[in-house]
Amino acid sequence: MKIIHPLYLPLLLWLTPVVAQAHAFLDHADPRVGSTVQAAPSVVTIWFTEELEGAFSKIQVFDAKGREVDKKDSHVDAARPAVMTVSLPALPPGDYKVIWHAVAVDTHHTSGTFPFTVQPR
Amino acid sequence: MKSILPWFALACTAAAIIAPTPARAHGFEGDRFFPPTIQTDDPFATDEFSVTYQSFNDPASPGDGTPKTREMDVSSEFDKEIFPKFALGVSGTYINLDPMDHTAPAQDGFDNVTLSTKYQLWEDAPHEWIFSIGGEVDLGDTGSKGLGVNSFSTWTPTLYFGKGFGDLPSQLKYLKPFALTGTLGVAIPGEASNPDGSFNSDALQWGLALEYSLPYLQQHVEDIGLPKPFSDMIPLVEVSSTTPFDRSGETTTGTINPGILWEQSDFQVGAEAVVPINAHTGPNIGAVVQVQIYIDDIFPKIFGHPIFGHDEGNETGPGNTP
Repeated sequence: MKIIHPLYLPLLLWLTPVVAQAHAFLDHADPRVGSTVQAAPSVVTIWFTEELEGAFSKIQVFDAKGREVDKKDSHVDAARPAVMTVSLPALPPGDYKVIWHAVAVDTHHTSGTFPFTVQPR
Repeated sequence: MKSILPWFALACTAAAIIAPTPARAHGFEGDRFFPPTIQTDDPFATDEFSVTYQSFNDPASPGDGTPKTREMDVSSEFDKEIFPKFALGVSGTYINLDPMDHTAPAQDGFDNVTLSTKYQLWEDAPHEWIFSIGGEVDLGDTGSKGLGVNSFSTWTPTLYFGKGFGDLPSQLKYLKPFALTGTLGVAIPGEASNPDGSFNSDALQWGLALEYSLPYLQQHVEDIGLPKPFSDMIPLVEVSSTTPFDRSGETTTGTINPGILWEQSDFQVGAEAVVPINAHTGPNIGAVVQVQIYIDDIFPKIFGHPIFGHDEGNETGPGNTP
């Protein structure tokens, strides 16, 4: 019986499909994509479709004039690696844009944007 | 030589592991994901693998004695990014022709092999634009002779474009999920005439795909609470046509294909009706189903990046920066 040369094993492992890995996309967010909220949110939280590499992933929030308004403390939840959050100061009423960059555990990069609005009470 | 192979395999593996290349998502321009469409080739030079099944009935040809025939095609295409934004592809089609009155035996075999190339020439992520150039060659005499495949090659230089409408003003936000892709090419047969005296015409070939992306609506415009599987669907209409320029006296043929694409992280399934645009194309409605495998997700170490060089600025990205 012919046995495969052991030096081929790393190659076979490398070629093995990794079905569990994929691009990370936005599943849903809070505030919801495109929503109008009465109370200014204290955080933006995004649930992704895949687990993220925290060191290379971030959320930023910009106001209508293009100024970054978040607290620059974006982080991936240690207990839920597919959830990322950034804190916000007390936002005045206005239109805001969220920009997210995500690197999934398989190194695939994805990013995207969505708006939300804080409406005066 | 035999003893070198295992060490070569080990060296290749080590090189790939030590020098990983950032993998990019397939078919993105800014926030926009342009799905690979069934009839109209998308403008992206990326790693793709698809299997397509198509079925339709050909009418009986009055006068020449050919019976009404049911045709079933199974085709497969593989594309690989060689250099950044430059890809090569190969595709083949297995054809089964079954006379519906059973007066003649069924015929089957392979159509000619097709090779293709594509280069992403210009992109504008904030406005979700992309233009590409490329084309394909149908290699003569590489298919089954019993099917009457062309003995000559046909070259089709082609322009490709894609435009998403995510840059529309917020007052038109529900139109933002629309996107349009298209191709425009000229098929140039390698021989102008056949032994039986008939002519092979140059032909204008074009296609358009108008799509409304529900994932784009949910993820980038407004979360309207669509449940799965609807939030993963992209309804679309494709139109394709071929118009001979000269010599043959043939007329325009084409189809309109309304359908739907269903997106998953590792694959896409698409289904469309195939409606002839005129009687010359055919009297019957056909159907086509395609499975597109996102091989860069399944084999991320091998696919999703060029063989030579690195992709830059071609990953998914926030389209409309503040």
